[in-house]
Amino acid sequence: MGDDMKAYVAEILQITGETYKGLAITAGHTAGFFEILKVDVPISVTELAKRKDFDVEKVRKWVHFAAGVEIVRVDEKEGITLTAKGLLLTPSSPVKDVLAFVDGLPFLVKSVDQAEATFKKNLSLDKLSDGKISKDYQPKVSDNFSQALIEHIKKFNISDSDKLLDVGCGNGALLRSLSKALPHMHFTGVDLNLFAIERAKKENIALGLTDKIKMVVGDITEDLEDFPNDSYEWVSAINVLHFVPPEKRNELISHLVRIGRKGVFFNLCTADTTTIALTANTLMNLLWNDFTGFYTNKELEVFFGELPKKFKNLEIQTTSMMQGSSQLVTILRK
Amino acid sequence: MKLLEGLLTLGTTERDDIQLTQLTRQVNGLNFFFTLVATAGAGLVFFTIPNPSFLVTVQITSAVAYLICLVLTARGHLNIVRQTTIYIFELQMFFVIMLTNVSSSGVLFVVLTYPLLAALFEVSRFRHLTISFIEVVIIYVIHFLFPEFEVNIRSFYSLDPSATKIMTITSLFLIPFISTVVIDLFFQENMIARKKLKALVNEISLSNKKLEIYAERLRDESMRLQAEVNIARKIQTMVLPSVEEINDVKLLEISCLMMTADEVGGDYYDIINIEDTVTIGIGDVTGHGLSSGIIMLMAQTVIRTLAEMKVTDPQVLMNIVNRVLYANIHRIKEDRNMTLALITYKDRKFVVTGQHESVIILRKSGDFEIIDTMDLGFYVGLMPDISDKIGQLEIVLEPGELMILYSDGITEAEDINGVQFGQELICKYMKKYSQLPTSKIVNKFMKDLFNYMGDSIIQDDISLVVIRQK
Repeated sequence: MGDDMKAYVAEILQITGETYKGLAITAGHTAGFFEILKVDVPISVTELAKRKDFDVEKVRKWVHFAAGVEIVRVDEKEGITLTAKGLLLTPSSPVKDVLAFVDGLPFLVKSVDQAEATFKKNLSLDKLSDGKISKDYQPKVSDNFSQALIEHIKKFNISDSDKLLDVGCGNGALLRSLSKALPHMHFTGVDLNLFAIERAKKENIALGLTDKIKMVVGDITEDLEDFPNDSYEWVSAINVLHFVPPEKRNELISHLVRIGRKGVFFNLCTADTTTIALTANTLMNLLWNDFTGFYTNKELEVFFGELPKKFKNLEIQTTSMMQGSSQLVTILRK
Repeated sequence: MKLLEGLLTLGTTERDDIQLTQLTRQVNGLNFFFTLVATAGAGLVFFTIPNPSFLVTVQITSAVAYLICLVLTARGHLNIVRQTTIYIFELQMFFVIMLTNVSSSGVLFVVLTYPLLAALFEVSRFRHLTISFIEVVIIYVIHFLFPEFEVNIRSFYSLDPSATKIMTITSLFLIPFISTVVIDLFFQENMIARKKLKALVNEISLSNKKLEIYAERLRDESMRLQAEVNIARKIQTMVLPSVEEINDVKLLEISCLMMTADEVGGDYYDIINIEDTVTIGIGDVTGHGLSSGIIMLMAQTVIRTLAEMKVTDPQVLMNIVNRVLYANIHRIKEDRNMTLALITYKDRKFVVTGQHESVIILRKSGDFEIIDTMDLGFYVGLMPDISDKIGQLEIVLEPGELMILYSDGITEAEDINGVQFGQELICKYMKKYSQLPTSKIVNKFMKDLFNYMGDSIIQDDISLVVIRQK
């Protein structure tokens, strides 16, 4: 074997190895180990396995792996504690979007497993599973992405009497979190997905939020005309643009600016800035029929070139989000 | 012992709690004991001291008063007795001390006993401590400052001086005796109460365990029911026609949607395209849960089988479906049946049969035809033979005209005020979107339905089939 070949083999092995590693970490995450493990209180393998009613030997192997990649630490008495790295994977992780990336992995793996079908036209894992992906993905993955955005939105001069419209709200998790942070505000969520809206309504009823959060069914590429100019103070569209056909995205943004009296928040995911976004852009096609893709660097350049021209009198701010794979744009009326 | 137990339990009932029973028994015990002591005291005084009439009177009066207290407790006046017993005792002791001039030993008795008794009777210890001090002060003041007054009293009652000595000995003997009895009574009753409490706690923890088991069973049961609902929902939605199958129908543009409620309702629709015939079915099984799902699956299988066998006469089709379902429902011994409309489409002609919700036709002119299916059939699976009840109706749609099939989940969907959506709104919205592709019509219509419902959630399965003649 020539040196070139050896290098390629090494490279492929490295890529595959990293993937295996990611899968093994995710396996521990999905199995719920990170809900039990603590940074300061050591726990034995036997206790860990007992708490989850798992096979001790299998758990021991996972712990051996996790110690190898420095997610956990095993002390001399065989007590397992989390490292600072491992702490990021717990439910109380301070960096929620990292958690979301990890949570997204099982979905992507399933779509890959069915790739022979999911690559076909009009077929996706969501379609194959009768909408189950949309139902499960949102609370597990999207909601954690939204957490990072809430902190950003809260920074603006939002008054109690303001109303916010969330376009493409899905199951309304963002609105519920916002409502918790800003309890006097009124919110409206609009989404095309009936199942998501139905789920949102049930959740809102259970939490007694129906007088604060209104859920509306609507196609954001067609029905935004129903919302008059300046009818809301704020409008948000979080992780939505990559589900809108590219030719309709600018029109959508114009609608958002038209409806929001004080300001607008939306984010653009970019495919070319991080490996994780590049791969997600490829694989999310397989998850949903209506996934239309992240922005490429070139598209982004055009977008940000045209934006100030389009909204001349408005203040435009851009913040990097989701570990650099998304740009949060805030457009404020002066 | 039995007599004593009977005396102690005077005035208690089965319903009393442990603490109350303990208190009553303590009060009774002391009253009984004091009666004995006062009577014995009267006897002792009578036989040992010359001229004892006043002292004996005090003792006998007290004994009678204690007896009255016992009777009062038995009559349920525990709260009065608690106070009075101590006052009687305090008075009795005061007189005895005054009459017998036993200040030194007597006051010791007074200071020690009153608060102890107060504790036993669960009345204010402070008050009786105060009384005891006042009595002590009075006795000492008279004894040291007005000795002649003391002499006067004794000469008035003409009690022999030997009484002092006898009473000193008696009272010194009485202090430990009464204290022992009081403390013993306290302990005894406390022990009994504690035993009862322990038994009660055991009983409660046993009941708790039983409750836990019941809760566990309930959880299992609700898990089973949840699993059943999930299976039923799966059954219901798994046999729905796929988009590809529906798109294979060349002459018709069809779009359908089903949304199941939390409690699966048993809606059914199907589009079966075999050669030149399209068989369209829509129905609703009564009840919900697994049985409804299974009956719906049976209906689907029979209809599909008959369609594959090219049975195109809707009347024959309906008759066989009814016979099969009747026989099977009879077997599973469930009180279920279903509304079912079957529509066969052949040679650009629809034939409708069976009883379900109305079929709505939207003509090109913008007019609606509402076809009531009441006379076209009967509940499927309710009777062995419904052939005489089956009717049929032929409908021809011009290109572009729409046929709308729906389940009662739509008409009966309620807004936040409980007002039902109804058929008129179906017509209104369908007309609004009639120019759009059927898939869009379904989307837009559902949007309007959902927004009509506002915060209300789906209470019954929703099925919608929109058919357009190409």
